[in-house]
Amino acid sequence: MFIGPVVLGTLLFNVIPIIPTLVASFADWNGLTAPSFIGLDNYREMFSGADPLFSRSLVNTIIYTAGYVPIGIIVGIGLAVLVNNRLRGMAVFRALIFLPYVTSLVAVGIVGRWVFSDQYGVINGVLGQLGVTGPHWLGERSWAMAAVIITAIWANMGFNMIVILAGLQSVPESLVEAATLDGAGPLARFLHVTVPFLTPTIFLLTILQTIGSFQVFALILVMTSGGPGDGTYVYIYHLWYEAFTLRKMGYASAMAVVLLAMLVLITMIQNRLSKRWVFYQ
Amino acid sequence: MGVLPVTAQGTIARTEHDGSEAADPAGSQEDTLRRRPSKIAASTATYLGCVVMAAIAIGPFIWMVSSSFKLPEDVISLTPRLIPQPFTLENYAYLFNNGILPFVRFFGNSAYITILVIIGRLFVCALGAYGFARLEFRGRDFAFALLLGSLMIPDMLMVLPLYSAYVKLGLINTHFPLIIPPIVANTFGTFLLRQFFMSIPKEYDEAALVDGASHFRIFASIILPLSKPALATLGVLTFVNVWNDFFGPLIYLNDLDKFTVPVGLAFFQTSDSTQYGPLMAGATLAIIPTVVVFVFAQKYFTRGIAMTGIK
Repeated sequence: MFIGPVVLGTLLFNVIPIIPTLVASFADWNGLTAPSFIGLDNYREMFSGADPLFSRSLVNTIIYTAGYVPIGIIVGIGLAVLVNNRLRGMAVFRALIFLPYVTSLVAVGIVGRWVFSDQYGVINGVLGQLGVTGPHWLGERSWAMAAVIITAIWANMGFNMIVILAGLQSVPESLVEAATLDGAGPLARFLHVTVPFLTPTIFLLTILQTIGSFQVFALILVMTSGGPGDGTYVYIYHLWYEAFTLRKMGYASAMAVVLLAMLVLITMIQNRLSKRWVFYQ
Repeated sequence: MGVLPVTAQGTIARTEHDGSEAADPAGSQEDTLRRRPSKIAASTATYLGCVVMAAIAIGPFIWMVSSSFKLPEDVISLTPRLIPQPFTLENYAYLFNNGILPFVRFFGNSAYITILVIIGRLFVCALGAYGFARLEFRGRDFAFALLLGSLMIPDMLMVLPLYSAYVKLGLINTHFPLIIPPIVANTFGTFLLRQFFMSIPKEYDEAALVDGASHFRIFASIILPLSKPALATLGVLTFVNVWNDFFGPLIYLNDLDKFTVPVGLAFFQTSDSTQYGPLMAGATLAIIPTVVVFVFAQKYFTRGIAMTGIK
C-alpha cells in the first residue's frame, strides 16, 4: 500500500526499461519501427574501430575523468580544511563556495565559455595583465578539454567540500591532540591522523565522481559542443547523437550497455584497490 | 552499492552542529584568551584563503550579473568594469521581447513542472519511506534492495526504451516525462526519508496503534509533522535538481512553447551566440530561483548532501 507507488514507479521507469535496452543492443532499431536483430554487430562496430568517434569519445571521457576526479577531490580537501574551523563567518564562506553547485550547468557552461573566451575572457585578461599571452582555450583541442575540466571542478568544488567536511568532523579530536603532544607538526598531523580518517570519504567521492564523469554532458554541449573538432567529444555526447540525431537506437543501446559494464568494472576495481588504502575505524 | 551507508546518521548530527557558528561559544572564547601572534597569523591566512576562494566561486556570477546590465559593446569590452556604465535593462527587454524565444513561457513551464514534482515527490517518497521504515511485510528488504540498486544504474539505460515508448504513446513533446517519472520513481528521496523516519521512536506508532489509529493516520498525523526537516531537505534538493534539469527537456521536448529555462537558454546560446548581453541576462534569471532557495534553505541542502553523499 505505502510502498506501492514508488516501487511500481521505479520498476516501470527505472528497472524494466533495462530489458528492452539489452534487447535493442543486439538490433538495428530506429526506436519507431520494429527492430531487426543483427546479433553482435553493434558491439563489433564499437570495438573493431569501424566507428572512430566511439573510441575518440571513450578516450576523451577517460581524459576528462582522469583530470576532473583527482583534482576535484584535492581541491575539495583543501577547501574543507580551509573552512573547517571555528572562526567567525565560516558559514558564510562555506555557502559562497558551495553556490556554483546549485546553479544550472547551462548557466555555468555559458559563463565558462565566456570566462575562457580568448578575446574578452577574464582568464586571458588576467594572464595578459601578468604579461602572459593566454592560449586559445576553446579553440585548441587540449586547452578546450582543460577549460571544461576547470569549469567542472569550479562548479562542483562545493559538493566535494561539503562531503569531505562531514568526513573531517569524524576525526576524533583526542587523536589530533595526542599527536600534538607527541610533537607532530600541522602537516604531520594532517597526513598521519586526518587523512587516514578521510580515506572512506575520499573513496566514496572517487566512486561517485567517476560514475558522474563518465556521464558528463550538459557542460560539454553548452561550452564546446564536443569541439574543437572532436577534442571534447565525450561518451554520452556520442550516445546522444547516435540516438536522437541519427536515430540509431540500437547502437546507442549497445553504448549504454557498454557504459554500464564499464562503470561496474571500474567500481569493482576501485573497490578492490580500496583495500590497500582505505582505512575503516 | 556498498558505498552508501558509509556516511551514517551521526554525520548529519555533526554537520548540523557545526553549521551553527554560535554553537560553541566556550571554545571560541578559550581561543581568544590564549591567542598568540602565530594564531592570529593563522586565522588571517585562513580568512585570506576563504576570501580568495569565495571570490573564485562567485566572481564569475557577479560578473555575469554585472554584464547583464551592460550595453553590448561594454559586455565584450577589453577594459572591463564591474559597475555598468551606462546601466541598461536592454538585455532583459530583449530577452523577453526577441520575437523568437518566449522566455516568459520557459519560466512558467519550469515553475509549474518544478512545483508539481516537489509536491508529488514528497508525498510518494514519504509514503514509500513510511512503508520501508515502519512496516514489516514479506519481501520488504528485497524491494528496498531493488530500489537502492536502481540508484546506481546510469539513466542512459532507461532513457532509450522510455523515449520510444513515449513516442508510441504520444507523450513526446508533452511535460509528462518530466513530471510523472520524477515523482513516482524517486529512489533517492525514498532512501533519504526512510533514514530519517527510522530515527523516530517506534513507541509513538505503537501507542497510536493501541489507540486504534490506522497506519495512514499515524503517517499523516505523527510521522509527517515530525519529519519537517527531512521533507524540507528533500524539497530543496528536488527544487534544485528539477529546475536545473537539462537532459530530460532536451530530448523529450520539441516545441519552443514547451521548453523549460535550461533548454531555452541553451537553445538561445546556439541560435544567438554573439549576443552575450541577453545571454547573461537569461543566465542570471535562470539561477536566481535556486540561489534564493539555497540562501534561505542552505542548512537543508547541505544536510541532505552530507547525509548521503549524493544529490
